[in-house]
Order: sequence, then structure tokens, then C-alpha cells
Amino acid sequence: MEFTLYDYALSGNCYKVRLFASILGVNYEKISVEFHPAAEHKSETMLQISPAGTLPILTVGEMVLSETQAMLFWMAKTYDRSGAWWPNNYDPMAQAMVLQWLGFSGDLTATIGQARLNSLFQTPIDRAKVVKCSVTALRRLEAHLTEQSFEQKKFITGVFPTIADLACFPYVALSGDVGTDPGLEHDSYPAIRNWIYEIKSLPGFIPMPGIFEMHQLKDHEADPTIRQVPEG
Amino acid sequence: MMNPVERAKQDWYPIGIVSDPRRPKRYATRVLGKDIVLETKEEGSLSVSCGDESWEITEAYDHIWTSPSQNPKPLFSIPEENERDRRFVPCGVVHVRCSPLRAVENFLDIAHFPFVHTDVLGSEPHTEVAPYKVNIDETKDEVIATKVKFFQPQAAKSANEGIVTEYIYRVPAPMTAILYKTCPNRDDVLDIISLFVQPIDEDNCAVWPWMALYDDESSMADMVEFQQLIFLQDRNILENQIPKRLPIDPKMEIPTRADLTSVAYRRWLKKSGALYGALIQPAEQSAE
Amino acid sequence: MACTGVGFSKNLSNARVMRAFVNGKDVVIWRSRSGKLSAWENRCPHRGMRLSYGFVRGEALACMYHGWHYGVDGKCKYIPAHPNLEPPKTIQIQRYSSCEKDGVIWVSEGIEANTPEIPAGLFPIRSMELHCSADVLKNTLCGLTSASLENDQPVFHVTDEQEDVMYIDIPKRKFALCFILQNFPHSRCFIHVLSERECAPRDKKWISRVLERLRRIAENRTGEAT
Ligand SMILES: N[C@@H](CCC(=O)N[C@@H](CS)C(=O)NCC(=O)O)C(=O)O
Ligand code: FES
Ligand SMILES: [Fe+2]
Repeated sequence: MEFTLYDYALSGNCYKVRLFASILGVNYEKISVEFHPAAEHKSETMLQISPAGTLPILTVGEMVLSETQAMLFWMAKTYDRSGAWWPNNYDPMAQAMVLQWLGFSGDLTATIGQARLNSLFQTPIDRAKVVKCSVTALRRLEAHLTEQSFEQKKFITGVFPTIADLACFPYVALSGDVGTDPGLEHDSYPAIRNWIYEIKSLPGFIPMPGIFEMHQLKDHEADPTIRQVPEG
Repeated sequence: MMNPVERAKQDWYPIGIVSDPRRPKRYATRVLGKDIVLETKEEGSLSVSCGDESWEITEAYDHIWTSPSQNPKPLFSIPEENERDRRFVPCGVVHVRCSPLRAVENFLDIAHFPFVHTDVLGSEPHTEVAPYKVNIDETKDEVIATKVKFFQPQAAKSANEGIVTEYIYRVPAPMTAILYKTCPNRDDVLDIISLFVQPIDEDNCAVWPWMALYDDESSMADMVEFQQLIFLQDRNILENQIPKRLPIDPKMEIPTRADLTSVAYRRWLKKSGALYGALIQPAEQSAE
Repeated sequence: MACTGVGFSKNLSNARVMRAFVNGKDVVIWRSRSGKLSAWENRCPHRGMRLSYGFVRGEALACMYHGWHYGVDGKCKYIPAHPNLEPPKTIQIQRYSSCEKDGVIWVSEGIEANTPEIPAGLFPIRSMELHCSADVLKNTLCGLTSASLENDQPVFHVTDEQEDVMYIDIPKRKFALCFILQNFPHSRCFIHVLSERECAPRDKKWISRVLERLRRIAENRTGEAT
């Protein structure tokens, strides 16, 4: 076991770490924390571990991390032998771009993440404002990914994915909870739609509740009768 | 026949967990389209009001139930609540933008396991639904499905390997479904999972899952999380079914043999006039 | 029946699925593994699930709920709960006609395919959603004068206007653009913008940002700026 993750299955932020660990093939110890209904992340026991009072928490020895951006960075530096998920030290511009979009991923938690918590658990928010800010964030990413596509780049900072893509992915893919019409926000961004397909196609991809998997990736292992659908 | 709202008023609906320290003293929610307030007094006593009216209130299965009727139907019974070595697990509440009846029907369905609960409650190529039995128990006025079998990679938090799970389903009230399933640790008892549905209105509901399990090992957080994980996977489906209300006209959707429970449920709703959240007239196909 | 431009071919790769609205109707558009395009009513006849959440298996679209497979003819080919059952021929999804021309996907209700009336040889730039109706956007475009824009900004020049297509010049940069309009529910619309000439990535980016500026202006008119 490489590290310990205090985890909640429905959290988009916890999912970032689970997803990256799966992509990197890293084993870790998972401890479930009852975010709802018990609000266990605010319990005295949990606050002793991480005073931030949020999930996820990643611990290794003495180190305690409460920010997913830091966790993804640490995981990339520690386990990513390909060196692709965090740009190398000779490329400060590439590093800066990854940092910029890691920062943006925090905006997604604050907007789409809040809208989703409100839809799920009726947490009190100014819904109209949060929805408006969510749309602004989605549009910003859509515009960026569109511009990337003009240069044949499929990911946020280039032709390969980085931890910035993983940090942004969960709440964008969960954006069906924004707006009154389920899915309308989620289905209105062609560049984001393509990017979601790219992320779901990454080796080691795992889903979370609310994000469907692409069952088609499995068709080579499925029952042969399924594959041989006659052509219409 | 009684109109759907009047019929719906005769039943009990869940609005809270009995021992929830985080519930505000005055907790506002909605039932059957009405704004209500659940008040918790200093000494712990509870009351429900809807404007000037006060509604009936009762406690059962770790939940607080209310009914707008002065003379509601008796709350259904789950005799296993007396088996004290079970662990009783209220799993919180999740809001879903779908008809309360769609939420119940989905709970009765097993054919979706391989695609919606992939690698947990089902997996390809084990997709076949074997024949099973469905009855209406006339004395209890319940829908009962028995001998429902399905291959499951991880049937419960406590399961370590795939097993063929056997289910019994009960629908004792239009917005309540209870299942009994093979307990991965023991073969002499059945685990219980139920779905208590609070009808916010005809197109929105809040779902309170509750479990009564034989599992000494898993932590409470693990068990709650497992159930929430499963239900959140369903929620994605429920919010994307068109129309939002449950169609009662058999011509509107196409059941197969695997859907016998759903067919019986729809018939039973129709026969007893429990049509709050149902689509009675085939709707104009809406753009929504 | 007129046809609706729903997006660019390059934005729907093989084995992928998208959702669109055509005359207010919810439509699923998907491409089979071999690349065949289909447009259907976005509803699975089994239990009503939106098929746009589905997944592609070879030449079939499978529903995410119970995995029923539908071939490109819209007929149900396989029901996983009953693997040995031949699905009744009557299980069929309502199909729309669809076609692709010069990089644009067009869909129309009914089975008869219509040919879209835009000139050949245009270059797709960007599809973009707006929170205003297509009519508001049209009025905005027609009403834009140099006075309504700051000095250094592009002046749009509407050169031709049809029901769902507009031609716009940006003289300053010598761009001639074609806007295909698509109405969405909830007073929204999509525009699919093409250029008359091939553009460098830098030009595309410039046009893309101009479109966003246009969106801000149009949405302000409906009081719905974001
Ligand atoms: N900055 C943190 C935020 C994490 C976060 O917001 N976690 C949510 C669950 S998804 C949480 O614990 N919220 C409780 C709270 O904010 O009080 C990160 O990115 O890891
Ligand atoms: S709803 Fe599509 S397969 Fe059941
Ligand atoms: Fe389910």
C-alpha cells in the first residue's frame, strides 16, 4: 500500500485520486468516510487528521494533503515513470499551463460541484448564481478546448493528457446536475463532449456514480453474439 | 375511482431519519407538492405542519413518516425489524428529478445491473434474466416477486467474489419497495434493502434507502457508501427517462419477460388508483 | 420538411454518440464503428431512457439502461436479458433522415432526406451554444453597426439572410462566414459557423473569440448574459 486515501464514493474530488491511481496502477488503502448523512468529514476524529474538514485526504507517513491538486502533483512525481502527467522541469511554460488549469479545476468544484451537492442533498446555495457561474466555467473550458482542436490538440494543455485534464474531468462530466433540464448543459458543448470521450478512452480509466462508462471498449471481451449484430 | 392526489394522501411518507443530530429544529421540505415543516421540540418530540394544518406523524424503520390524512392506511410491516442481530442502516436521502413511481420501478428491475451497476451487481456476459414468479398478495395488497436470480460480481459490501444472488421483492405501498437478497456471509438468512420514497411532487422525489443486514465486519461508512454508490448510478438513469412520469398505458413502453415485476406493479397501481406520479394519458411527445 | 444543421462531421467520430434538438424534438445522433451516421428519436422504447447516453457496439447503438441493441435500421437486434430471443420486428425506433455535406451534419424529420441549401466547399470553424433564441441572434446581427461596437472591433456585415442560414462578412479581416442556426428549447440556440476560405489556426481562434463577443452582445439583449 503506497498511501492512504480518506474517500467518499460520490465525491468528484475523491474520484480524481482514485482515477489517477487506477491509471498509474498504484495500490493504496481506501478508508470510506460517511460524508452524507453523517458529515463524518467534520467529526472531531477527522478534523484531527485534516483540519481542512474536506475530502479527500491523502496521507503518507507524516504528510497529510487536503488539496486534490497537490495530491495529483505528488502522485505524478512519485509514480509516473512516463513523465507525461506533469511536464518536466525544463519546460516552465508547460508547467505553468498545467498549474493554470489545475487552478481552474478548483472553480469547477466551487460551481458545478456546489450545484450538484444542492441537487443531491439540498445543501443551501444561491442556485441561480451558482448555475450562472457553472455555465461560465463550462464555456471557458469549451472555448479553450475548441482552440486546442484548431491545433489538433485533444487535451487541455496539449496532445497528451496531464493532471490538469484529470482535475477538470469529474465535475465537467457530472455537469448534468447544472440547470433545470437534466443533461442540457452537459450536452451543449461539442469540444467538451469529444474531450470526455478521450478521457474515458484512457487506459486504466474507471467510472464513478454519475459518470457512465463506455461499455464499447469491452466489446472484444464480451459474448460473441453481442459483437455480431447484423448490419441493418 | 378516487383522484390520484386523494389516493396518495392516504399513505405515509418518509421525511427524516429519527436520530439525525444535524436536522434543523425547523426542517422545511415538500410532500405531494405541499410545503411542510418538521419541527423538533426541545424535549425531542416531533410535529409536522402544513400551513395551518397539522399532519399525522409516526416513527418506524429509523425514519420519520408523515401523512396528510387524518385517517391514513396502516404503515406496512417489515417483521424482520425485530431481529436484533441485524444491523439497521439508514442511508440518508438523495433527491432525484423523476416521478416517485419511476424510482420504485427501477428498484424492482434487475436487467439493468450489468450496464448500470457494472462489476458490482452485474456484469456482461451474465445478462440473462431467468424466469421468476410475480403475484399480487390480495390479503396484504402487495406486489410480490420471488425466485428472482441474477449473477453478481459483488452482491454486497461483504461479498468477496461473484455469486448467484436470489431476490424476493415486495411492494407494500405505491412508493415503497423492499427486497430480500442472499446474504453473502450466511445462507440461513436474507439481507434486506428498502427504498422509501418521498414524493416531492409528481415529477420529483427524495429517496431514503434503508438496510437491515447481517454484516458484522463492514464499517457503517462502508455500508452506507455502498448503497449510495448503487443509488447514484440509478439516479443518472432515472433523470433521463422520458416521460418523467410512469406510463400506465401498456402501449407506451415495451416490456419483456424480465419486466414482469414492473408490469405487475403498473397494473396494481392502476387497479388501486395509486396514480400520483403516473402518466395516464399517452402524452404528446414533448421536446423536453 | 426543412433540415436542421446539428453540428460538424469532424465533431462526431466513429463509435460516438451526441444529442441535438430538431424542431424542438430530442434527437440522438450516432456513428457506428464503420462510420454510418444515424439520427433517431432520443428515447428507448423499452423504458424510455435517452439513447444519447448509450454506447456503440459495432454497427449497433446500445441503450445504457438495459443494453438493448438497435441496428442502423432502428430495429431492435438484441435484448441482453434474453440472449436467445429473437427480438420482435415491431420494436423499432423512430428514425429521422440525416446526411452529411461539406463537413456539416444535417437532420430532418421524416424519412425523406432533404438537401441543405448552402454553398459547397466551406470550412467548419466552430459550433457554439447561445442562451438566446435564433431570432434574437439574427436581430442582433442585423442591428450591429460600427457604432454599437468599439472602434477596434470587427464590424459584422450581413450579406444574405435566409430562414436558418446567414452570410456575414467581416471586411476588416476579409472573412466571409456562413452561420447555420439551430433552435434549442428554453430559448437557446446553436450556431455552426463556417468560413469561405481555409483559415490558419490563428485565424480560427480569432473568429472563435469574435463569436464569443457576439454571444455576449446577443445574450445581453435578452438580459441573459453570462
Ligand atoms: N480544495 C479541496 C476541496 C475538496 C472538497 O470540496 N471536497 C468536498 C467533497 S467533494 C468536501 O469535502 N466538502 C465539504 C466542505 O467543503 O465542507 C480539494 O480540491 O481537494
Ligand atoms: S430502457 Fe433502453 S434498454 Fe431498457
Ligand atoms: Fe439500479
